[in-house]
Amino acid sequence: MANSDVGRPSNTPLIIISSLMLLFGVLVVSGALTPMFKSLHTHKQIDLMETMTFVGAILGFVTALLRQVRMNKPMGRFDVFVLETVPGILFIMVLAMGIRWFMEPVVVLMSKQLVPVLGFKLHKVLNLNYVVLGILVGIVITNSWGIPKFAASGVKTARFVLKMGVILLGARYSFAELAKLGMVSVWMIGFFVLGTVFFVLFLGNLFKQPKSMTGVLSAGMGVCGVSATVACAPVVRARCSEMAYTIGTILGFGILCMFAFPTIGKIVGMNPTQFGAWAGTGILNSAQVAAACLAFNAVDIKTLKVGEIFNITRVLFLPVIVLVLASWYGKQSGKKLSFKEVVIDKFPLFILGFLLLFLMSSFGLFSPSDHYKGKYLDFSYNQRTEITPEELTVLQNAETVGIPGLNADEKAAFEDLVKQHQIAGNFADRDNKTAFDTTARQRMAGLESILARAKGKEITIGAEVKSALKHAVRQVHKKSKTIVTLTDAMIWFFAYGLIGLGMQITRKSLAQAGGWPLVMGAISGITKASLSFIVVMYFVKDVVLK
Amino acid sequence: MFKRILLATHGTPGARKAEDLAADWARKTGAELAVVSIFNDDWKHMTGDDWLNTSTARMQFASYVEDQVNDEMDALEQRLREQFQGLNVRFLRRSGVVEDELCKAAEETGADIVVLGAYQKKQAPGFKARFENRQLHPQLPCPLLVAP
Repeated sequence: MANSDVGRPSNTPLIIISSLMLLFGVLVVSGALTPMFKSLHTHKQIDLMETMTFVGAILGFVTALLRQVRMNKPMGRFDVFVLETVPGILFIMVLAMGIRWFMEPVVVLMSKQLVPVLGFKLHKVLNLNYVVLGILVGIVITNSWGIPKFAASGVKTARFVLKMGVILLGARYSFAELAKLGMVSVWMIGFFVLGTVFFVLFLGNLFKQPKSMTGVLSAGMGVCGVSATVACAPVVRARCSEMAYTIGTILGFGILCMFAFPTIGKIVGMNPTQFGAWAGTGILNSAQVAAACLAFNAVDIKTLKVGEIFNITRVLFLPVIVLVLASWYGKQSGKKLSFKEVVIDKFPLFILGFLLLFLMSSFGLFSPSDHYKGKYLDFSYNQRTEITPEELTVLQNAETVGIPGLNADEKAAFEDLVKQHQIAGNFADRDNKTAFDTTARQRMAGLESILARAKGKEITIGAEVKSALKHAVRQVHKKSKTIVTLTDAMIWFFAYGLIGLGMQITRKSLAQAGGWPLVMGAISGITKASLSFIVVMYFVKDVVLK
Repeated sequence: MFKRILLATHGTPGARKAEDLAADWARKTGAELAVVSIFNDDWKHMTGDDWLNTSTARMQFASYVEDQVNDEMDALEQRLREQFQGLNVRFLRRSGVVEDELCKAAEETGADIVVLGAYQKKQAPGFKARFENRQLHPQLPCPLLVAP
């Protein structure tokens, strides 16, 4: 199919992608690929594969048809915002699916097979999960073949989709978490953002650099990387070379951090709260914070939750910093900026979406109202929270033989579990919710203590007993189907968004790094990352999430 | 010898050598001197993975960069007008991929030769993404001179 005369890319790539998705969907439904999925451990996602591929294929074919009809006609809004973006959206979707269902499992398998040679799991050391692989694939595509013309419009949706991911993340916080994390993050971000901004301004003065350069660099290094540079450059009247050097420096430093932080975090044994706090404070770029948190732990989103709170707090500081820089620079230039120019235009609207989802979740729109107010446990007597009959037999045998080394609380908790088949309070207290929950929590703490001490090799329990105890503890954690669905969608949004954003990281922009911005950026960036590391390691020990 | 010389410059130290050489040759040969400055297409990559800003902030940035580049080109043009007094000079501004725009300008001006500066050993000020020889050479409609 020939290109139209109004600049529309050909329909052929879209039809090829849609056909591939359809073919893949048919193969999945037929069961021909099931043995392969089992060997890759992705067979549990077969339902999702069917849904995503068929929906994608239908969307692709319908779009191709509409595009064909509209070929050689002037483009309207519907063409620009819908028809021309779908090919790129499907392109990234195919990449995301390929990475999640094939590339990541294959990398893990290969990494495990290389253990006898290397002596360690390569994918663990380099954090090669779907997030990191997605960004790498994006960077490789954009810097080798370039973004295909047919996908160019759709790739721009990555920014929007990433924001959607953060908005959906809002549904995963409780008031208690948000309040506690929020306070920690305000203090830490406040100190490090303002500290870095003033440190860079000090360095600029020390090295006798122009105010416009130190201004734009201080915002970039202090607040949120390129976004802050873009927001502040017009305010401090930065010169082109200063902007280019600053953006190049920030992007390069951010990419180094994105890969180094998760590895360092694992080496020193950070917990999710510590890593999220460190990444959210030390890494400049917000998308890279999300990537580093998911690289640290892509299965459990605790790290991402903490990192994003720090991230959002930092983003909220952006208008403040713009205001500070505007008044600092305005004194010299004599130019006054309006409140709208400085604050309203710079305010990231998606944070309102995040707060809206948080409030909707907190008021019980997605699950029972008391479920996301810090109460994550369901101790009520019901069949769902029971352990299996086989597990019960294992525990009864262990109780008969006895587990040496248990203290009184642990022993009582163990006996109650065998007696009730589940973690719960006393039946007699069932009308007194406070007493009932308190007893149940003590029992759960006892069982968790057994597991922790067994892990620390203080006591010895059999693998089957350990498995049964873990299951019992897991069973009282209540999950809302809506929240689970929102979380799955969020993970896909992040995967999609980060692939697309990887495609925005070009060699040409990185090559701009240089000059005094590189020197001052390196000094301030390393200082911030090191100091925040020390603060996190010494003062953020508490795991506030459950 | 030469009737039309096309000088490509952004006023960087390397390009200044090309400015001097092109002016010298234009004086000696009486050739018309066309000066082209190209707004580098690579600027579109310079917001990188910025995803937090509103479209308003991004548009403001793009507009600001455009203004800044134009201001720098104005200053360059002003300086060269003074430096090239007595010569038959015209100024061109382009925006896009450097190699493509340079060759288009050479074709449009009917240039006999294109003069530009050499890569600099030291880190020169200014936007650092320069042309790529592999992209430029096959498209050139006339000889290329690199001022040492």
